[in-house]
Amino acid sequence: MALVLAGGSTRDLSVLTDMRAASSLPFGGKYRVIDFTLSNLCNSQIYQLGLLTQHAPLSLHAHVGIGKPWDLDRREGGVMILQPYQRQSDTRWYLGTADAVRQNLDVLRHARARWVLILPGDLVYKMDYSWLLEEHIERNAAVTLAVGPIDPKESHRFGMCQVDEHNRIVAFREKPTEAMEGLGYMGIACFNVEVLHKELCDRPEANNLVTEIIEPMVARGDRVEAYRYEGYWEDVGTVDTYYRASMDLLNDTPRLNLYDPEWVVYTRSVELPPARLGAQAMVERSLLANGCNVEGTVENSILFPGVRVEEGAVVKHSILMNGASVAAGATLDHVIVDKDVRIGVNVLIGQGEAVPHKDFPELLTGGLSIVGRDAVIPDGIIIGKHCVIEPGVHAVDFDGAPVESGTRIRRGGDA
Amino acid sequence: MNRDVYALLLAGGVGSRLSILSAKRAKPAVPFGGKYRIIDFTLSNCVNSGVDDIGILTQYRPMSLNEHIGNGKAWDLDRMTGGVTLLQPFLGRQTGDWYVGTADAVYQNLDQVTRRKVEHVLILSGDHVYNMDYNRMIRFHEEKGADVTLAVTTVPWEMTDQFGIVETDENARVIGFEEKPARARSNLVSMGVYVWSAKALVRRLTEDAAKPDSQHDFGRNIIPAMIPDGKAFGYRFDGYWQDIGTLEAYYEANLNLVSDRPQLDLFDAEWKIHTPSAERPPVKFGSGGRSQYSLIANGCIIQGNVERSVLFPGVYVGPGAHVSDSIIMNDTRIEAGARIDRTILDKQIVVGERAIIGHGDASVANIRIPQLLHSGLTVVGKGTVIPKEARIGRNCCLAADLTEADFTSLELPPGSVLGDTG
Repeated sequence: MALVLAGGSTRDLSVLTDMRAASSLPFGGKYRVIDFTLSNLCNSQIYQLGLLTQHAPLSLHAHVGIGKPWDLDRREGGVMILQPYQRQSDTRWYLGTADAVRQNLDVLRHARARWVLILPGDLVYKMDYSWLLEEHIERNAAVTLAVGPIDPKESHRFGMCQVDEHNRIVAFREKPTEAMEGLGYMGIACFNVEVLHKELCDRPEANNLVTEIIEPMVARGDRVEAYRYEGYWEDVGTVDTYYRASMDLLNDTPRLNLYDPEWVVYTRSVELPPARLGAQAMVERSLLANGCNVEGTVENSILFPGVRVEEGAVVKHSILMNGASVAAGATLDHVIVDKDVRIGVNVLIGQGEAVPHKDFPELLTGGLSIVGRDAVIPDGIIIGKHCVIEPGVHAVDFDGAPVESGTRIRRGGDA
Repeated sequence: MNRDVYALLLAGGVGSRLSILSAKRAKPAVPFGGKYRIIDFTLSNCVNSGVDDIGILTQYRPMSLNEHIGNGKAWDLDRMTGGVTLLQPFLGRQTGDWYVGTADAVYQNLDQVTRRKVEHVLILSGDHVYNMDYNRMIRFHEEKGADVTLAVTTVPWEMTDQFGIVETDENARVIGFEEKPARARSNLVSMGVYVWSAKALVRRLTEDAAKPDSQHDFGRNIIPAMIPDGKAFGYRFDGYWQDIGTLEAYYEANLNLVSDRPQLDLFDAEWKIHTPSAERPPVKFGSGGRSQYSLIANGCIIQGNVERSVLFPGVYVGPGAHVSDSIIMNDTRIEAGARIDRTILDKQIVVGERAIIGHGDASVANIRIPQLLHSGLTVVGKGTVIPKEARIGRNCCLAADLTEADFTSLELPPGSVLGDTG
C-alpha cells in the first residue's frame, strides 16, 4: 500500500498555493504535480493508496476524484482520501508527517499491507516503485529510503545521507546549514508496516517522520537502506524550482520525457479541441495544450488548456495556466499566470529594473512575477519585475500608475 | 433529460467516395477536425440535447467504430438506463439479414423502438458534421402535430443532385420530395435528420417492409409516400451543416476549421464536442517549430513549419520539414526536410527524410478515381512508409500499409496510384 503525503502547506510557492495544496499545482502544460506520483503508482501496478490531505485540499480532491484517470477506481483497493477527522477523544489536525501516518495506522491494518510506501505529493519524477520494493525485501530492510545525488549548493533543502559500501545509511542529517556532499533523501520511504507501527506507537510525541523517526533509527543502527535513484527528479516546492523545472521541459531533450509511450503520465483532462494557431501566430520553443487559441507571439513558454493569446500580444519565458487570457498588445516576460486570469489590452508585465521583492527576495529571482488566480489586470497597466499580484484582484485594486518592481498588489486594498 | 426520445444513428454506409480513408473503417469513424471522428458531432448533439438513449446501426467495417464508441463513456453514455447500444445486423429472427436500406435497417430494429414506449424517435446520420439542438426540432414537431419532421437546409444549386430535395409550403408542410434528382426544383435539401412520432414510424416501416418493389430507403420510398397525408414537415436549420460525402468535401470541411472564421465552432464551451481522448502531453514546439493557421492536437512535436493544416494527436514534424494545406492523422511521422502540400495522410504513416508529397501539375486527375481526385489533393493510406527523397505528385492515391519495397521508383508522377486502393 502507498500513502501519499499531500497535505503540507508552504509559503515558498507564494500565491500559487493560496487556494491549493502544493501537490495540486498545475505543471507541465496540462498536469498537476501529484499526477507524477499517481502515474508512477499505476505504472508500477500499485493500485492501493491513501491520499493524506489537510491544507486547501478541495482542488486536489476534485482532481483526484475516484482516481479514474490512473485506473484507481477499483473494486478492491483504489484511492482513499484521508483527511483529518474528529474522534471521541484525541481529535487533532495532522501535526506533522509522522502524526498524519499515525492517525491512519488503522487503514494500513485493514489493508493487511506488509509494506508501505510513503510518498511525497510534490515531487516531479518517474520511478518504478516495484524495483524499490524488490530491493527492500531482498535486503531485508526495516526502512529503505530513495536517495539521489544532490548539488552541495542545494543540500540545505534536503535530508543528507551517508551510506556505506553496501548502500546502508550510516548517517542522516536533515537540512544541514553548511553545504554538504552526499545523497539527498527524496522523501520516498518504504517501511515494513510492523516497524512503522512500532516506531510510531513507541514515540507518540514524534510528529515529524524524518527527524523524529528516521533519523533516530539511523542513529541506532537499524537497517535503514538506501535505494539509489539515478533518474530525474525535482522537488517543485518553491517558486524558483517550479519555474526551473517547467522551463527545462522546453529543451529539445528535457530531463523529464513526457512523450514516452512506455511511461505515460496520466491526468484528468478536460475535453477541449486541438490547439488553434491563427494568422499572426508565432510560437517557438513552447508547450501548448489542447484548447489554446493563439493569435499572438509565444516564446519559451508553457500554455495550459484553454489559454488565449490575442493578436499582437507577446508571451515570453512565462507559464500561463488553464483558461488564462492575454488581450491584444499585452506583453508578458517572465510571469507565472495562474488559472482564469485576464490580462487586459496593452498590459506590460516584467518591465524595468529587477528590484528584489520586499518580502521574500529569495523566492522571486530572475525577474519572475506571479499573478494569482482569477485576477483581472485592467487595460494599459504596467507592472515591473518580481511583483506578486494576489488572487482575485481587479480594476479597483489598481490606481492606474505603474506597479513598481518588487511590490505586491493586494486584493481589495492598497498597492 | 429527454426520456421521451430514442435516437437511432445510421452508421453503416460504405462511404466509397472517401476512397482509402474509409477502406478500413466506416465513414462515421473517419477522423475529423484534429482529434474527433465524424460520428462525434452527431453523438455530441444528442447528449448536448439531453438525448441519452441511443442505438447505433452499424454494418460496414464496424470495428474501428465499435472501439471508438466503447461503452459510451466519452459522451457520458455509460448509464444504468439508456446509454448507447451498437446494433449490428444478426441472424436468428424472422427478418434477420443484412440491412438493405436505411428504412430496412431501422425496420429490423423496430423492437428496440416499441419496447421503449417512447413518444419520439430521432433518426440520424452518422456522417454529418454540424452542431444542432434536437430539442428545438422536437418541439417544432410537436407543435405541428407531425408524423415526421425532416431537418432541411439549403445547399448551393450545383450540389442539389447529391441530396434529397424538399419542397415545402408556407406552413412548412412538405409538398414535394425527390431523391437526388438530375434537375432540382428547389435547393432546400433533407439533412437526413428526422423526428418521428414512434407510432407513425412503426406503421410506415411495417407497410414499407411488405412492399417487394421498395428499396426500403427513407428518402426514396418512405417520405414520398407520406406527402399525400400532409403530416410531414420541414424544419429549417440555418447553422453550418456538412455532409462529408466526398474526399473534396472532407478536405474542405477540415481546412475550413483553420480559416480566419471557421463555420463550425469547436471552441464553444456551451456545446462541447466529446470524443474519447488518449492521454497525451501538450504540443511541443521545438526551436525551429513554426505554425500558423493550424489546429494541432496534444502529443504533437513540431520542429518544422506547419501552415493551414490540421494535425491529429502524436504527429511528429521533424526539423526543416514543411507542411502546408494538409491533414495529418494520429502518430504520423514527417521526418526532417520533408515537404507536404495539399495532402491527407492517414494514421501511422512515416514520410522519409526530404521526401516531397504533392508537387507538380494539379491538372492531371487521378487515373483510377478521377472523379474524386482532380483538384490537386493527394491521399496516403494508413501505415504506409514513404521512402526518403521520394517525390509524389498531386492527385495521387497511395494505398495503406505500403513498405519501401513497394516503391519501385522514387518518382510518382501526378495522378498516380500505388498499391491496392480498393
